[in-house]
Amino acid sequence: MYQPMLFLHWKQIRFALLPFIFAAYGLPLLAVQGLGSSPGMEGPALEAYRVVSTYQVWLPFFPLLAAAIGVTLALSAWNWDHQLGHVYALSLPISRWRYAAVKMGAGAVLALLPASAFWIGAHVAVASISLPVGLHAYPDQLAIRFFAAILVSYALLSAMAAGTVKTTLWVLAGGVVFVIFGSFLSQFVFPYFGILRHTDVVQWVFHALVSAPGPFQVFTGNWTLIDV
Amino acid sequence: MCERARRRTVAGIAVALAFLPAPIRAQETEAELVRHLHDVAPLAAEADRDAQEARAARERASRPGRVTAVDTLAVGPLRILAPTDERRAAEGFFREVWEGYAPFVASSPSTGRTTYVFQWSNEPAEISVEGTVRRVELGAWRPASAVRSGVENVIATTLGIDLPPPVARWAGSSVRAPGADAARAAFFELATTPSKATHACLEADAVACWVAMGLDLDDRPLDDWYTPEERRALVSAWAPGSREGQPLWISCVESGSIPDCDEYLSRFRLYGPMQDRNARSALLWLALRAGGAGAWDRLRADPEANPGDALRRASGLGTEELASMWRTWVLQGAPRTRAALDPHLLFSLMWIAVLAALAMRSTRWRLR
Repeated sequence: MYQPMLFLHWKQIRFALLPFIFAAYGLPLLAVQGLGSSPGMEGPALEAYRVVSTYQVWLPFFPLLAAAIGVTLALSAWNWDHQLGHVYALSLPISRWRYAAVKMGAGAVLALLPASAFWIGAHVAVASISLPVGLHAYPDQLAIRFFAAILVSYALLSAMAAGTVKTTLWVLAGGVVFVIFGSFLSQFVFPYFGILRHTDVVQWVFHALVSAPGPFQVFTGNWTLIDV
Repeated sequence: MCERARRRTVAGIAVALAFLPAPIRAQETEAELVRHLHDVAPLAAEADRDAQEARAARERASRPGRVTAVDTLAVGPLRILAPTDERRAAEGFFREVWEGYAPFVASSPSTGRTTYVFQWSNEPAEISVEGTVRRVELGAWRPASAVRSGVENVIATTLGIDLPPPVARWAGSSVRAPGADAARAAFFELATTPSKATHACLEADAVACWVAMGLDLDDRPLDDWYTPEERRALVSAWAPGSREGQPLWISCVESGSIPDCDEYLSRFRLYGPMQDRNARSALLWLALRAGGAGAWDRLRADPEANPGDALRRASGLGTEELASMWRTWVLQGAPRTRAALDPHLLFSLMWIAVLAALAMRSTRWRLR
């Protein structure tokens, strides 16, 4: 069961995944462009601050790429099911949860492709430059974080896509309503209640989501390839 | 109101031109033109003032602005004005921040002259104060951390005014506890600056840390900071710069003349290894805390003292002890070893499992 599902998913996503694989390989190389000097060349010593500050510009693209890959994998996994009304799944002699588990497993394996490309790209990027004294590169740790971010984004979108469209709409609408209503409460209602006066519900929830142990901490954590 | 002011300006200029003693001729002398300007300028200035007052009045009218009773609080030497319903918050924040300063500051000239206005509300009141005022006025939706930071800023900058000028030039014009990332930034600078002083500092030579921060320098600081090779590398890292510096640059970089490297650096690029003001400010803070009661007064005792002497006098400690304290603080900012299994990544695994379980939960798919 697993191999056919993996093959089906690969067949569906292979052309869409290729650009992401190239992007994952190339992003570390882009990020270190112009940093350090080529090994063996006697070039001027660059200030470490300039190295790291230049690299900082590329930091947001790493989690964004990971999220995009996860979303693409998840949506492509359930695309045919939604189009055909889950006829295929319902016709199989397999319980729903196993079907969903096999699908998710297939997607997680496919996530290894861009993650591996990223790992290779990070190592190539580090090998291509000579870092100033005091700076080190962390390609392995960054690749692990990249893979984890893909899986979190993939799992989230899978959980939404595996359900009905109605459920997904309820979840999304609930989020939007919470943001709007919560902001309204924080700005116009809570200031008149002593104990809640300085409570910002939306900010509190946002902070809980993006910092440990929230689910999105992996996206906002340390994405540094080059550091002390 | 603004339109009225503009009309008054135009009318004023027209009247001035009509009644000026010298008629407008096709060709006027420069002196006559200047005289015209002198006569018209006061009218224009008055009209401009009217326009500004009208603009301010319009802005005040548009703001909800509430009328409220204002209380005067005292926290240490600080005088604080806050609306009555925010008295407790004001006292809490200022007391919490002042607790960090109280061990070494009893009072300071600037704190005695300054009034602090505190408001943490969506409807700020108009609180007018004579004299030097520092305001902490934030919307009620801002978190407590932002308010505390605002209070720290106003107290730090007030005390910074009273720093002896050499110390202020060296450490910056504020006196505050080092922030959460300051140690990490200082370690970063220490670890990545190619200088024998910084390397020695990391190797446990506390006095090298002192020198790296530009304290107690002799006539030849370059010798204390950099090896000859490092000096050449420093020069070569810069473009030749001005025409005046080019011969020195070429001689240093291409011919390897160290004296010319030193000359170039002394004239154009004399930077010590540790430039981070937060790192220096942290040393100042550590010295004051170590000095305890009266440290602030001892720091200010000699307005012309060099920073090294001022820090030693304030803290009552020697160079090595102070530098060791600072070095210990910096090393706390060293990044932890990055393990493949960062504990936070385990949270990610947990969430992947939770979301996968949600994806697998029992629910009905219906055929259309």
